[in-house]
Amino acid sequence: MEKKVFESIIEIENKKKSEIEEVLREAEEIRRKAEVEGKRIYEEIINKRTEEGKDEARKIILEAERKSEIEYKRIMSEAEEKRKKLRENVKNCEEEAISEILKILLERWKE
Amino acid sequence: MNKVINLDSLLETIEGEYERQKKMIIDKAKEDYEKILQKYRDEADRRAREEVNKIVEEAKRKAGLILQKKISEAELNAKWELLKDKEEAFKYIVDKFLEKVYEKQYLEMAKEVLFWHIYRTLKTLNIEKCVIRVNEKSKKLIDKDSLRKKLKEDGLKIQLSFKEDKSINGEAIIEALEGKLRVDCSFREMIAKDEDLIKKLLNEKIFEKEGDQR
Repeated sequence: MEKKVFESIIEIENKKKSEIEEVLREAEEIRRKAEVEGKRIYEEIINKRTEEGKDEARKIILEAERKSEIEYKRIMSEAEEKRKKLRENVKNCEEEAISEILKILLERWKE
Repeated sequence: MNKVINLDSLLETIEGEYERQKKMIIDKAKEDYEKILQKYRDEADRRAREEVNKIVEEAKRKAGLILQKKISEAELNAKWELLKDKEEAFKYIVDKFLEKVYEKQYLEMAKEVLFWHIYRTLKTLNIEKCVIRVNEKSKKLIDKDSLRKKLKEDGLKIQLSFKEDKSINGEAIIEALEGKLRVDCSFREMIAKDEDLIKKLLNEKIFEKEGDQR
């Protein structure tokens, strides 16, 4: 009788150990799938965020180009004002300019 | 009968223990699954932040360069245009000068300039005689007697003679050593000699008058 009990225990032990091994393999498979899925998620996040970063970079460059055009026009417009003023001065101060040249030449040769 | 019940109970206990273990193993694996995914998410988040930061910083650097380049280009173009205008203005003023220097209001000063220029030139040439060639228009600018008197006062013995020459464009040409030495004493030549100084003073007093033109 005792022998029969012992055999029954051994039998169930063997059966369950085998099931445990199966479960352990299943658990490993879950972890392996997690690694695969994790890597996929990793790539997905990196790609998505990098694209967002590139979009932001493109906006920064476009904004810089827009601002630089405005700056260019501002500087050229200021320059145009200066040129206009120069032309007016030359037109209005013709006599003064001739006298100035004569004064310079006189100082140069008389000294 | 009791022994049979006890055996069933024992086997149930053993089976139950193994079932508990199996559940524990699966639960742990499921827990690990979530942890592994979270680990990848966290790592991706950190790495993505670094990457995005790098991309954005590079874009900001490029943006700064774009702006600076355009500003430099504009400043350079503006300066160039202004310089061209000043050069044209200078030419215009010189032409006007040569055109109007014989007018009454400038005549006395023009005479004085020409007198001193010819006098200084003769002083430096170290010659015994020379011919001063003038044209029809410029002859009224030169006071021959004053020039001779001044040279005499300074002890310079130069035999001066004056010749009208329609072919000369400038005011006067000093000719010596039988034509081997010729000095152009025109206003244009005088201006050319002091072009930088004249430009500088015209720039300060005329071109940039009333406001910053630099």
